[in-house]
Amino acid sequence: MRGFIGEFEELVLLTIACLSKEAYGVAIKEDIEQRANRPISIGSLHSTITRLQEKGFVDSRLGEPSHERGGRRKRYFSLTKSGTMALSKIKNLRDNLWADAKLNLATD
Amino acid sequence: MERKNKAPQWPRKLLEWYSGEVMAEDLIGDVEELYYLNLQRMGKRKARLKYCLQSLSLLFSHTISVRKRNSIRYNRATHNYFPMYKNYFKVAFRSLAKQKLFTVINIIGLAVGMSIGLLAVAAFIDMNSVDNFHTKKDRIYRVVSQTTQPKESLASVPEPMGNELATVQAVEQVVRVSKKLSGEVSTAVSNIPLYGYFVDANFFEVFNFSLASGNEKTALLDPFSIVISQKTSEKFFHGKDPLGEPFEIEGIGTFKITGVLNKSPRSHFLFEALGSYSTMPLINSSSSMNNWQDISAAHVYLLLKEKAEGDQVIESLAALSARTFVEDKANYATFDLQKLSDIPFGYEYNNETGVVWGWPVMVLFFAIAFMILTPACFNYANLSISRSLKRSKEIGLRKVVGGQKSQIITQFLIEACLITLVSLLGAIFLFTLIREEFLAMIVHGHESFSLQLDLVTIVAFILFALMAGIIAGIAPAIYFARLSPLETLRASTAPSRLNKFNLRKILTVGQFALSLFFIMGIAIIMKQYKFALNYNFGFDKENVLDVQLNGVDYQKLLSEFQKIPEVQKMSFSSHIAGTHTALQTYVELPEINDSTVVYQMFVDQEYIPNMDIMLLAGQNFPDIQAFEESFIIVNEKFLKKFQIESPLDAIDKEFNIEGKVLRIRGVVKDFNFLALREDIDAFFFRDDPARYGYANLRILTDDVTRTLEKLETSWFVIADERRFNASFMEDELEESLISFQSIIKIFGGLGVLAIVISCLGLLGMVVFTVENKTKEVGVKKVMGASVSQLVLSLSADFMKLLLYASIITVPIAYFMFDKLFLRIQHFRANIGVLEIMVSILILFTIGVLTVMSQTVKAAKRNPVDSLRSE
Repeated sequence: MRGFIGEFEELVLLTIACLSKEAYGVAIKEDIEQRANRPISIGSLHSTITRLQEKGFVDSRLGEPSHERGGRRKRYFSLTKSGTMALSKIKNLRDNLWADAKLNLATD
Repeated sequence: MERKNKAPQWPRKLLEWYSGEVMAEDLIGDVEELYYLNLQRMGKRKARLKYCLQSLSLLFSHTISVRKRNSIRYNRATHNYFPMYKNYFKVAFRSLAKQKLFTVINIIGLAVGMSIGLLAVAAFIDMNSVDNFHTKKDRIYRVVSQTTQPKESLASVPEPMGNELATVQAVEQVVRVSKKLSGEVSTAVSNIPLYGYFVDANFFEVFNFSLASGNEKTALLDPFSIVISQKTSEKFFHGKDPLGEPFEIEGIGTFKITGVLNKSPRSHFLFEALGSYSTMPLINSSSSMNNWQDISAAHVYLLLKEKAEGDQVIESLAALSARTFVEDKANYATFDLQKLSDIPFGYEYNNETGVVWGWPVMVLFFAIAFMILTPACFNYANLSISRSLKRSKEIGLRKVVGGQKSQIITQFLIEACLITLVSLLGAIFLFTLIREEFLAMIVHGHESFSLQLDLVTIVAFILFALMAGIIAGIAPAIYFARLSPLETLRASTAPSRLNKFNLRKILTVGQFALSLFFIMGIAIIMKQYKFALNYNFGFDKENVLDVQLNGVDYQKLLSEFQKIPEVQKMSFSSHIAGTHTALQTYVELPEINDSTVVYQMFVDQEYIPNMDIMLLAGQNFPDIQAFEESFIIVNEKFLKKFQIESPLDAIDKEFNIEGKVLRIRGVVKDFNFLALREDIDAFFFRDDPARYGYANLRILTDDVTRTLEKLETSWFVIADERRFNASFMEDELEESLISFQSIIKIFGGLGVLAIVISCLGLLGMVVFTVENKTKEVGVKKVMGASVSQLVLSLSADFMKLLLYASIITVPIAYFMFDKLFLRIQHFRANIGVLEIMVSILILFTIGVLTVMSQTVKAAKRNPVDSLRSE
């Protein structure tokens, strides 16, 4: 479906949005793992981010070399305008579905 | 970060190597950061495991492959081919011109090194074009056989095969070829041997041989018709037209000449004449013509119909084999088809039609060529790396302004190829010098190889030179590509990469090891040659003149020759002992219903005393001529084979041989009836005057020429026109050692080449080292060192290299040659200390002279000059 993104991709985009200026590989991975309580492979994470870049939803820039990483630079990610639009599209889709489903999600 | 907690290195190195020029540092940084986090969370072992797994997952990730894909597109756009190559050529020319001595050394070395390679390439091209001129060659096959007892593959088949296959549907033509057309043809002056084939009349239809005169369709129809080569026509008819003339071949009959052959391009067929196959039934018994047991009888070639498949024929062959032979019996045979184009390279077939070299010979040839080429390439690499100081600034600059590793490598490969192309001219010159020698040295050299310089060959040579250039240039290219520009532009001292220095030493040692190997080879083989010459064969070979009987009545010859006083003793034999000729026969073993092979020789009663062979038990053959053959005289090995305890026990034992019952009359001590190559096997003497072939005369004379003249005159009294063929037994035995002489020549030639290349390499290294040490020498001289002390200090290192080379080569060469001679020659001399010492001495002399030529010059130089230049 053109313009629609998968579940994992949605997670990654949202996490990038959450972390705003500190969104780089390890941080994204740690955040998702913590929230979703499931392990993520760094390889598949970067592959997903690369695909999102190819689709034009994510931008990247190289940061300053840091001592902890042996002088290596970090790559920071950020949402593009079309990335934000894609997120809102999928959110709308879901909201509509939820509304029509009239499910009772009360947890008591 | 504490040392012991550091992450393992290999995953990172792997990632860096795999990504190449593409950025991966952010990814690597991520996994490292994760590692340190994991160290705290889960301990070292698990953290390391996760680190490796994560690195691998990155390696195969979409991210890296996308980045690589993008970078290729990017990089390709930055190559400007043409102007860069122009620059490479310019720089290459300049650098070669600047260092004239090294360039000359390299050119000479590579020319020498490539010369043998050119020979191998030309020979290979020739082998490929054998039988290329037949228009129907894709449809021509040869039938070959495979037997089980003994297990061998034969290029020939039983005689009746040809007729059988004519009925197969897929077969258009059958051509039978028989090697039996060979014998001597007599002219007024001498007997000349002739060799050729009997072929079916359709030979010219299937194969593209052509006649200069005569009709190809009818020339070989009639029995006893023959076509001869132009050379043969010249030999016998001296320019006269031979058509219709009679042509007698001894032992076969008189033929009529029906044509003269044109000179043909190279073919595996080897013949001076072709006779009609229809002659065969007239000169052979009908039983031998229909004999399925004799697998060596004939060679059969098939021309398949257009679009026909060989499988049909193979099926027929299998059916034929099944109904003709019984499996597991002694003479079971199966048959197969071999393409005409596969013949030159197929080596496993016995009883070949003509000349077949086989691919193992080619492989050996190329191996030797590479053994000579590689030192020359090493020299080039050696010298290039040694001179790296002069080039490194240039390389450093190139890299700083953006040169890629691949570009540096390309530049040096081009430089190396340039040199090899120039050397190619020198190599071609050497090639033309040695090709004649080479062709003369190998059997049928001129028929199998032409080694011409045609277009295909020259193109192949150029490709070979380019390949040599790549081999020579790859090592310095990689070395320079790896130089760090920072090091080279900053420091002005020679690169301190000591491991490269050791590599050069190893290369030099290797070259001298190779040279020593050849020198030792020559010394050892010469010793073998002398040994074989002086070996005691077990009979007295001195002053024995062997005269070929040639059909003359031996009793008449006996009475004639005995009149000559110089003839002390005389005897008769079937062939000459101690050469490669061997007669064998089957002795039946009734207990197991089988037979075994035993060597034999037919002699008269005078032979054993004449040749001074030692009789251990029993008696010689009786003086009186028996009507029927009744006795054999066996040797010790015979006793062993038939499990007879002692010579005395053997007397009067009887054996079934060729249908006769023969009794042992005596036992002789083992002697070498075959050349020294073979071990002594079971053997017996028999007496059958019909088989006498030679008269053995023991001569005592001061004037050999006069005696020979006397003998010749006596000969013609009784022998009419037959040729007088006499040679001393010692000469015959020496001739069978002719293969030694060829090998000595080859080793000698190769040895000289190897030594030349090694010395050039050594010279280059010495010049370079001396150049670098001019100041040091100058200072030492000022301080009072004498010339000899300086020479010693400069040369010491190189002497050590020669020593290492000797230490390595001597055991290897000793081992190899020992094993080699073990397989070839059964009776051989041991490799002695003398040969080894002499070889080492020669090597050292040559090496020392080379080194001294430079070091003495340097030591004598005026220190003022060497210290002044800056």
